[in-house]
Amino acid sequence: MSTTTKQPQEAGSNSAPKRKLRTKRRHTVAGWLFMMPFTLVFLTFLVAPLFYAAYLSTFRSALVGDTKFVLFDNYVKALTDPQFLDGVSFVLRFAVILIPLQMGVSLIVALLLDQLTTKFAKAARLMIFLPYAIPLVIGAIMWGFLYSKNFGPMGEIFGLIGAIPPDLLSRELIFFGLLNLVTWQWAGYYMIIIFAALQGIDSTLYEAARIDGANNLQIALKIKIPLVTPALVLILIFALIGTLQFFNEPQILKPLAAGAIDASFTPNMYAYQQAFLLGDFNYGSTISFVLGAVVFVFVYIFIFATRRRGGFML
Amino acid sequence: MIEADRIPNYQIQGALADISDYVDASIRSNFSDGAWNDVSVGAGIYGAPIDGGPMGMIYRTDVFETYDITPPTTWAEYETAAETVKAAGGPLFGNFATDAQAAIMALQIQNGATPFSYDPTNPGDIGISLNDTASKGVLEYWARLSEKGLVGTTNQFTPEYIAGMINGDYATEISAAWAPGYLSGAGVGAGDGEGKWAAAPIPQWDANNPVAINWGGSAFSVTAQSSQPELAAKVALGLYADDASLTHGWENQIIFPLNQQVLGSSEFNDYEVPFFGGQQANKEVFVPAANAYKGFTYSPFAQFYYEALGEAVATIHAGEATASEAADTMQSRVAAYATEQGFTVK
Repeated sequence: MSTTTKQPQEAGSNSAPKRKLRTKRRHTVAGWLFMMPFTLVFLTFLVAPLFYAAYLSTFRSALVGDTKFVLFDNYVKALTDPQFLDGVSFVLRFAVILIPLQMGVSLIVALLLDQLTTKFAKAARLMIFLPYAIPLVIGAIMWGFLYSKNFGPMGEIFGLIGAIPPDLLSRELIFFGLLNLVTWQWAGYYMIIIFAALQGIDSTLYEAARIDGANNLQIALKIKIPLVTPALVLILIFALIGTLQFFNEPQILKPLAAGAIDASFTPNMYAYQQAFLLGDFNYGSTISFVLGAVVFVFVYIFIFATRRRGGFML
Repeated sequence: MIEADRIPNYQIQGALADISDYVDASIRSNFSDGAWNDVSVGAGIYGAPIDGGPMGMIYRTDVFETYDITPPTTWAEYETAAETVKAAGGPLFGNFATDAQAAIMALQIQNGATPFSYDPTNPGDIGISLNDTASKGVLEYWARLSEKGLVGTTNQFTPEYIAGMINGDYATEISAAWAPGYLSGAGVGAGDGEGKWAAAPIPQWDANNPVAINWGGSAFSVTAQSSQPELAAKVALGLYADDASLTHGWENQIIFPLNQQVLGSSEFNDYEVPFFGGQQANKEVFVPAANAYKGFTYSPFAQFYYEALGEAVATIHAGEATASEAADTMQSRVAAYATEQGFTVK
């Protein structure tokens, strides 16, 4: 027969529900305040420029004449521009060769280092990671010198076996010159990611496998690799995004490569040339957006393809 | 500070102010017509001339002595001398680079070409002539020399090339008056290489019709954004107008001032240039070249043109095109770009 009724409350007093509501509101407000600095920077330096670039890409400017509003004509021009398409074809071909190579190298090295627990393994881990710690620009300049005929060691090394050193900055071999450079820079980073994932595997699985008579290679193939596939997928997506936006290394090696690298070698370089060298910000913005769309499409394909299966389940 | 061959590129985008109102007769008389032509676009003056790059040929005296060569005065002689040196097992005679586009354009003009004709009173009209006989002739000449292995193909503004210069890999360099400053700053002509370089007038295509040419040269321009163009022009015209600055310029900064008072002074002319082992290179080579220089008409899209020219040379080096084909491709590329940018190509 007892009824619970709410006590009549006086206005503004410290009642339980009101206190909860006020606290919740305070927490909400506090949360937004903490977000504010990041949000402001994000809006100012990422979202607003994106909108502005999109706005610019709907106009066409010329050295003689006014800037005209052309809506999507610039996009049509970009998609039929042989220089842009050549650049896209290059980064796609480059990605197809580079990404498996990078992932293969980093996976094998991570597996090997996981196997060894000696001091040498620790030192090796550091040394393989070191190229990633070197700023990209410095690394590219350094390799520019290593590839050069006068400064590089190739002349001497090949001289030992009496052969002519390949010119990795020539038109024929620049693909491999860049391949070598990028693998050197990034393999260490990917290796660490895979290595960390490997450390997270429960070692009782290995014991169980050993009891079943598996050798190291079988353990690696059947247990380790399948269990690190999330890390591999992560690396794949990073590598894909990075390679499609390839800019730093070819831009730096361009003056040294005596014509092997032209201004539209990669789509990002073409956007840079249009915007900053030729002063055509409208077309440069267009190319950036089209490239962004290409990256988005490919990454979406990959995420979709690896979503359910979670990777390369054998 | 802007290089003279880029002035039309900025002028057409409305970035530079016309300072002809602030150039009075006394200032005008301080510079040759050629110097004023280089900083003008049509009747407007868009920069105060400071220094120039009259072209000459610098060569290694020791190589010329060893192989018994006298400095060639025509390009035909240059080729013969190169063949002599190669046959005797000597170093490369010169270099044909993809990044010395302004020099190639100068050589084409020397041969009689007029790559660009542009008058800003009709800003829509432009004449582009990059594949006529004279222009092709120059590209064919250098393509032939590089094919025969007489000249190198390294990019000229790289450590690679400088290392080659220090090593003595090149017997000559087709160069300009700023070379001593640039090269000695990079380490050429020091140590073993000291005093081994000398300067000679640039070889001519036609011995009876010598043409003086120029590579580079800077000016101080006033931007259109300036809210005080008169004062800015005063600064631009005045920075290198006094004797002390000019002397410091050519003695320490090793620039080649275009001011007539310097070019006419005995100090400058009799100066024994250390890079050339004491040769009075100014009197013998560069001052006459500067005085005879009439100025070039540069394109209003130098950036695009130089890149197309660099590409053309690269295709020649790679054997992907003959010089003639490369010139034709370049002509159509530049003409297409000009049309797209709103010009009417004549």
